[in-house]
Amino acid sequence: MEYLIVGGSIAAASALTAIRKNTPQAEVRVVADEPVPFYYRPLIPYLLDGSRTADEILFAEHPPTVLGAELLHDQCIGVESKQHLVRLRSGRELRYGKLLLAAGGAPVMLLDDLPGAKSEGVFALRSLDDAVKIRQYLLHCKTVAIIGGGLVGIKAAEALFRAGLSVTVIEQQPHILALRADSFAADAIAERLRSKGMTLLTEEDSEEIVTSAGKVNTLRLASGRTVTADMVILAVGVKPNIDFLKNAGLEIEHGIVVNQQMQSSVPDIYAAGDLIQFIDQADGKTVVSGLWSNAVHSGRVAGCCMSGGRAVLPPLLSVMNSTEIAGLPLLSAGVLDDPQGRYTVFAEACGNSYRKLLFDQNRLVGMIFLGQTERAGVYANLIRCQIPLEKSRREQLVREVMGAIKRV
Amino acid sequence: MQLIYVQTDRCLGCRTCEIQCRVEHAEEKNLFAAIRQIHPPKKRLFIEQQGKVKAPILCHHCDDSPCMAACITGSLYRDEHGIVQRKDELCIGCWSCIMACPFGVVARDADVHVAVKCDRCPDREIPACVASCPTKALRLVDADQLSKERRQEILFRGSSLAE
Ligand SMILES: Cc1cc2nc3c(=O)[nH]c(=O)nc-3n(C[C@H](O)[C@H](O)[C@H](O)COP(=O)(O)OP(=O)(O)OC[C@H]3O[C@@H](n4cnc5c(N)ncnc54)[C@H](O)[C@@H]3O)c2cc1C
Ligand code: SF4
Ligand code: SF4
Repeated sequence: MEYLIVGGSIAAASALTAIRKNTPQAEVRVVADEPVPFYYRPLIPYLLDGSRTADEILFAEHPPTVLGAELLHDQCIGVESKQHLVRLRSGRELRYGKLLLAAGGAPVMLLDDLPGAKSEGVFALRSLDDAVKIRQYLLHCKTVAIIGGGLVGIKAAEALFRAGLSVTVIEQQPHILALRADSFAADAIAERLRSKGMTLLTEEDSEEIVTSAGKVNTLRLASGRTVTADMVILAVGVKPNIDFLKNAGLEIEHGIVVNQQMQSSVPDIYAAGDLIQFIDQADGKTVVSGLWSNAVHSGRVAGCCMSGGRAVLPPLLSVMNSTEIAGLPLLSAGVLDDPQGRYTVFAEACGNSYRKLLFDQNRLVGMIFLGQTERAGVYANLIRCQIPLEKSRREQLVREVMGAIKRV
Repeated sequence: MQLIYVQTDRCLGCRTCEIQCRVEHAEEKNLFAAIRQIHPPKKRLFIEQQGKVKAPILCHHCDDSPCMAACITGSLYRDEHGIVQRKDELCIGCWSCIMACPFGVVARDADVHVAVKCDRCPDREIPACVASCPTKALRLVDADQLSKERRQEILFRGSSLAE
């Protein structure tokens, strides 16, 4: 049986490890289109200010070498599922016994909507290559505008600020970090970022990137405001990398539809990582993954099931994030806000710390911890596994989190 | 693989294990130096109380560990003894592991900005918590030995019921 993996990141690596556990000898090929695959993608912001080098964020052990797989630096441009064949950019065609799609996500580039988005000095931040290019370019820059105040936008803003640039973030929504925090936590973070010296503009839309001599010079906003910028970073979101699968006959909605074994709707094709869709355990909505840990779990399950083992995808959340922003830990999981008044909400703020718990009847469905981390995993796990809690347990939980936690 | 087995009925909640855990992870391994350290060492196991039962909660060094899956830097890894370890120099203090551990046994060391967790005391034969427990509520046991013991216990209980 020949295995073929499309993608050169964490879902691919995790699947390859699982395949090797079951079949030490089988032929495995990996097709990856990045010049240097297999690195810790969430660390690329650390390249911008030079606090890490590209070499320092590579996987310690190169998976294809360690696990014995052939790595092809190529791009998959099509899948002929009836013939069990993939077509590559180089013109090569490869047969497969079982195929894993682990092509992850790609940044939304706004190329058609935003005039000037193709100019020199406009970047996205998704790959090591992007980060290296930004690092080179910023040496000639004093000002940067970041379009999008989500996690990637804010991480880029902090890194570029540390690198000495004057930073402006433009966010369409009333608050930054719309998917990772509620308005209270987001405003507290925004306040801290502003006090450090960054400019954050909310409820602002970008209208045009103005260039001079072909290079980015100014960002014009819909409100009429202008932002001087030698460089623009587009951080407006990520979409699953599925364009090359148009004719493969796979069932695709928001992302690739898979079952609990990570099988797609087409025999012998599996998918894992940022391009799959799954049911969010917090609110039952169908979502596309965007988390490292989800890619690890789905990759492992796919690899195991492809190579004859048995595994099921553990319950997952689309929000189960932890990060340190503006010097404060921000941990959030599940449902973060309750505009319709559906949930029972407990929240408490004190100094630099803020905690919030959201219950849907007898289940915990969401949490936000800002400025503290204590036992966060215990609560996130209650959300993820939909564990029913009796009234006394719920009361105890609220006391634990809101009052003094019984730990010294 | 060896496990730390907790017999909750023996735990008095005296916190000796917590203190010895801190001491073991101090620069100089004695209590007075540990207290005087600029950034006192953090403990890696936690006495918790549920109703009347008190017990230490420890890292299970899980299979398919959620903390390892969540670590975005490669700082967490499994060593040759099956213990989930962390490389100091790689940790960026993103706290993803804290968010992922269902047992709540990863702690944040805010002073030095790294996550800390049980490392099974690599410098010792018997981990400090096990060695120090005055009531032997903590024991280091072999996984196979433990399941054998448990089977015998059940058999014994069965036969005494039959009598
Ligand atoms: C700046 C930044 C910070 C982040 N921080 C966090 C964080 O703190 N916590 C967290 O959980 N997640 C974070 N993430 C998200 C996390 O990186 C992703 O969820 C994870 O990388 C997904 O892994 P994956 O293997 O599914 O896909 P990806 O990592 O996207 O990798 C897909 C790979 O496939 C390749 N590929 C795509 N199409 C083809 C093709 N047609 N042929 C061949 N190869 C192809 C791509 O080039 C890429 O190498 C962050 C992401 C970014 C960009
Ligand atoms: S820290 Fe938590 S998740 Fe990680 S191995 Fe220990 S118990 Fe398991
Ligand atoms: S805090 Fe350190 S060990 Fe934990 S997930 Fe982040 S980098 Fe890994």
